[in-house]
Amino acid sequence: MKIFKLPDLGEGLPDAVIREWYVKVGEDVKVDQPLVSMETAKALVDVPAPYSGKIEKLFGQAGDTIETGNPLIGFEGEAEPEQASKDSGTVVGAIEESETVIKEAASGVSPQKTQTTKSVKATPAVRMLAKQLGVDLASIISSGEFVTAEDVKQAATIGKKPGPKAPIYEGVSTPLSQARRAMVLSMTQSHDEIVPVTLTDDADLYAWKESQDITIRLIRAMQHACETEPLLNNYFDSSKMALVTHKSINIGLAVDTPHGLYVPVLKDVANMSDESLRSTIERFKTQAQDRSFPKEDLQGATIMLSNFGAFAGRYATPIIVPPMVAIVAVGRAREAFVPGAKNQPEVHRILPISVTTDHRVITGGETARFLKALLKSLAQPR
Amino acid sequence: MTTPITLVEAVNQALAYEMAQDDSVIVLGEDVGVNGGVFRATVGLYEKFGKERVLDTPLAESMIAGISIGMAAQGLKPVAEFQFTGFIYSAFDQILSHAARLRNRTRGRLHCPLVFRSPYGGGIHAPEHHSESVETFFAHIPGLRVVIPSSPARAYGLLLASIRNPDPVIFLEPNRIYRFVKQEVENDGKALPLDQCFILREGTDVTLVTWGAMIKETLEAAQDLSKQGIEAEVIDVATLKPLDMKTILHSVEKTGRCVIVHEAPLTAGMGAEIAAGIAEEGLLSLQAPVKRVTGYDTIMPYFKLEKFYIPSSKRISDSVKQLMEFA
Repeated sequence: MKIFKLPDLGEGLPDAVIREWYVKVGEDVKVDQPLVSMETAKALVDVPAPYSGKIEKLFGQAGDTIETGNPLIGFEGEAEPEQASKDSGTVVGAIEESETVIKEAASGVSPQKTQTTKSVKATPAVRMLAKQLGVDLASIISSGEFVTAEDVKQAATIGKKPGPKAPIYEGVSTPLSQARRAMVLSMTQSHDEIVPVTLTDDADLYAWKESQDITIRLIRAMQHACETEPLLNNYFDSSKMALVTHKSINIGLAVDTPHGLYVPVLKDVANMSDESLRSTIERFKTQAQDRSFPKEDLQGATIMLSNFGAFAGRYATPIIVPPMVAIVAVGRAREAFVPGAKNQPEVHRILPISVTTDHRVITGGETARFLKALLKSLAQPR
Repeated sequence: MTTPITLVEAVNQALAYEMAQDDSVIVLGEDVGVNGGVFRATVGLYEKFGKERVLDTPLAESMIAGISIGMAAQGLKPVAEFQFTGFIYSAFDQILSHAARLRNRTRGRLHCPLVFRSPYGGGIHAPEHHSESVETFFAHIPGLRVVIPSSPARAYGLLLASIRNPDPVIFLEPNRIYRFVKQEVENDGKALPLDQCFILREGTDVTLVTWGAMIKETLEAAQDLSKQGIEAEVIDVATLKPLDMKTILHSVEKTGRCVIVHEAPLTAGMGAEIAAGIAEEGLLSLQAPVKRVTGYDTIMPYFKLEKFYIPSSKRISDSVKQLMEFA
């Protein structure tokens, strides 16, 4: 018979009184099922079944006192071998016990006398700044006990431009506006990266019927030239030595305003009607006055058009903005004498055109063919 | 050599040693005499030293503290037991208003060389009032020393040092590790230094600061991290007050990263104090913020949920990995 002894029902109680049996001899019980109600000095407690089984014997009746640790209920089955009970105290709860023996000095390990500082001393803000500017903290020799923001900024500029100290100019100094600052940065980048070649020529507008919108004709001419020489409509990704092709021709229009130079983009001109081009260009003009260009309008140009002819100038060396590889610049239209039919002088309307391409990826021949297609398109009656 | 003993046996060994050496050491508390203590921390002392030196008190914590203060002020060295730190709150006024202040109040004429020892912390499947971590309450009181051992040998050495110290010591014994490991502890009466951290494991990548039962999970986390190529330095604070920031700062200077682990709830726990100390004096060495892995701002739950409350070694190592990826 498996004997279940009365457990300690709470913090060292010596015994408990049986108040009521819930089960009878011969009954099958499941684990955790309440077997009996016992009254201790502190409380009335239900004792649950420690395992499932059939009751064989009850070691007392209602009203009997059973000592803690003495038999309470017998279950059918093999008797379990007697286990020497450890005296682990009389407290409620269960403290995990193990026989693991640790070998460890009471006072721990003593720290190494020589301490090598593996990191440079700097505040977290300075560390962040160094990270943003791409400066290796370890390479900075600081003037004081630790690296300061000034040290980091100085180290950042040293890499870019070694040279004399910044000169001090006479006169009133005014910081540049946003647009002009952007121009400084993009032109500097262009100068650093691009290898420009400019081809110039004249477009003959003699055949034009009625007065037409020059801008629309220029856009269509560029569209035609890009379709003829699609290479000039690509981006050049120098880091990957790759040309990035585009599905559409997006012409960036250089717009000069009192606030600065803006380049809004006509996206996918091949799929825009003339009306749509016109209305978009009008919108660009208004937005340029208000400086209200949404970001999308200023992004995504694949090739640029700069028409400076309103004022003066024929041929130019227009600057390409990477990652584009080409730009078309149009000067002031003029009436000129040209040899006509039978070599007789005729007065034709002439539009000077300059095309700059990036000779890192575009050849002179490709540029010339593009220019030819451009001129041919412009020479059409409409 | 000697038989390895558990932490609670080491406490018993230290008490027996010091009582034999020093007649002024008195042990008092609930069930400490005849019963031998509910955790058996004082077993055998009553038989050996008699009822004049091992006193079974009534169920009155405020009285236990008050009597101890009176004894200490008059030249005895009482070591009083509070059966669980959950019961110590009634004694708080005596501890805060008198034990901690007697030296100051009497300008040094009187002082309290007493030890209040108590099993503390959760994880033993006990009901409410038996699982709190109270170290912060005492650490905040000027005039008190707070000591928490984490191994049998340190329990022995630090308890001897605490009994010999001329000022009040709150000696909190993490009951979750009372019997968890055994260690050879020579009964030679050698005390360990108070007010000092112990470095349990050397490392170069992160400093893990902890005390008490959390040493167990922290060392497990350090093992785990080592397998992933991260070497953690593990510091056992041991004396929470006065805090040995020097050892901690020295370590952070080396590793640049720190995680503080404690079972007590997060808000205003000792982790906050240590983190502030590192921010003040160790800022320039930090590669990442100081993190705390702690219990939650709730009552310690009953036993089925205990393991979710007490920081697991996984929570600790996950925290370290976040720091390693910080910047």
